[in-house]
Amino acid sequence: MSRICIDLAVFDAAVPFALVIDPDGRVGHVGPTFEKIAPGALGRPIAEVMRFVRPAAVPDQATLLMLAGRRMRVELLDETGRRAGDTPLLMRCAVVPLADGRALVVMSLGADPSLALRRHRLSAQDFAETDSTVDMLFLHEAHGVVLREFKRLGARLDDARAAAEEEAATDKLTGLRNRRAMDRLLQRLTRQKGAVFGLMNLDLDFFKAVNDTLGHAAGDRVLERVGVILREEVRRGDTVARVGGDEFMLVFAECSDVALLERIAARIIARLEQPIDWEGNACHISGSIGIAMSSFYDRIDVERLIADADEALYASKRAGRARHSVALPA
Amino acid sequence: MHGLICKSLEGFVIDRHGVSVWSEIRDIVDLPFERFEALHTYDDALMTDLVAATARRLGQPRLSLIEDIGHWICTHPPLEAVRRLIRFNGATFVDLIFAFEEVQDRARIALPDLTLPGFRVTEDAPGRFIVTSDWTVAGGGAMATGILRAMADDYGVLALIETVGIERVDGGWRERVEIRLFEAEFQTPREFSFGGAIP
Repeated sequence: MSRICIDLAVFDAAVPFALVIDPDGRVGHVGPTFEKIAPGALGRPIAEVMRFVRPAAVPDQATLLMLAGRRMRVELLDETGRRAGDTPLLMRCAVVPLADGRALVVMSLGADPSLALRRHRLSAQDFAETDSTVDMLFLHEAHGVVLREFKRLGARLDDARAAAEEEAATDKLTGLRNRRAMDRLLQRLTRQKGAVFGLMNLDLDFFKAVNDTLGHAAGDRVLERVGVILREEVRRGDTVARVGGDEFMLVFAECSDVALLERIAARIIARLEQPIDWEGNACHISGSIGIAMSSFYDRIDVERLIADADEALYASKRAGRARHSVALPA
Repeated sequence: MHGLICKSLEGFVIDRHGVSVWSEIRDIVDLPFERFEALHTYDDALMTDLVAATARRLGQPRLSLIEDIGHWICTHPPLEAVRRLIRFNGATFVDLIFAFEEVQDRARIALPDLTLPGFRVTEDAPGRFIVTSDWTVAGGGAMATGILRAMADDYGVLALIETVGIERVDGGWRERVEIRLFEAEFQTPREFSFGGAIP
């Protein structure tokens, strides 16, 4: 069989988005989808109906037939629903020479059909039954749904991460406990009747000078080193927290031995005063400490203990820094 | 069971009965989280327990609960995307009925983890169709019934759709849905054009 003759209605159902160009270069037949997107092409010269973008050619019948077999891109000149300023649709097209000197121009939507779909409200009737564009569009929408779910999942994970950070009990820089963890511990001690513990407040001395002269990276290095020293100087079971920029708080569990805490304080200060190396620069700091002992009070009021330890800390500062003081209840 | 399916139960209960009922049902089955994650996969047994607990709490047979969920996912306005994806499966309601045979392929290409029932469709007499569902858990046919009822309205057809049989086959569940199509153009179909979902 070398030739097939089909009814025009069948042809339109099979190839709805197409034109047939007569030998004189005029449009001899318009497919229904073409008519919907750019009506009124019938009988007009092809050059009035579409502009050839790739390859750029002025289409008459002879050049059209020479382009057979190439994938081309065209713009339709009389597209409906295209307002002034709207970009014209860029469509794909292919030319198939027919036996009688006519040319079949088959159109398809480009790589992203969304603009064409929206502008021309296309539905299943506008595509051939066998056209896989419809399946591609299904996938496109399914993909959109999945992407939205991924975005929602991402947002929920971000929230969960923020909440976890909020809940975290560790100071990132030094690895010590943070203020939140210390507050929780102090609340626990408040609830616990007859808790025996020592409290130590430490402020670094001359830390600001390190930050100001060598920069924050040097300051961070010093804080890390302070973290190491404090962890090494306390006993197992004690708690060390960084509660401010250069402020630390230490809780010594089950401890009523003020002489022990004074020895620890002296050792901490001595070690803080050893120069800390940062990229070949020696950073010099020291520390002032205030100590409060729960065993010094008849009734334990954690708030008061903290205030008294602070008071002792300021006494150390006033006395010339780099020393410790013990709070004695009045 | 894919999270999208689990989430449809959760969404249905919350939308129709409120968060407090959902939280009661969660307590009954000791669900260890508040909400399902649409992109996770959950144990089938968990979902079976949850469906049973929900049906008891709402005082409704299980299959009728699942039918309602199927109807809800097609008609709940925020889930317009689901209705659209279903409409892609057929230009007419009859096309849609037969498209159930392609549901697994459709699901696989969109979301490889999404396992759906296998469906077979027969047309016993003009206008009378039987959709047979085979799945590892019960409810595949009932879900199809709910979806088809909603979509019959969407396509504007007049049809009677019932889950007519459920039996155990090879360790799974086989359900049959009967569709009697009375009028193919009963009312104006709902709008559906391909560009509709694209912002």
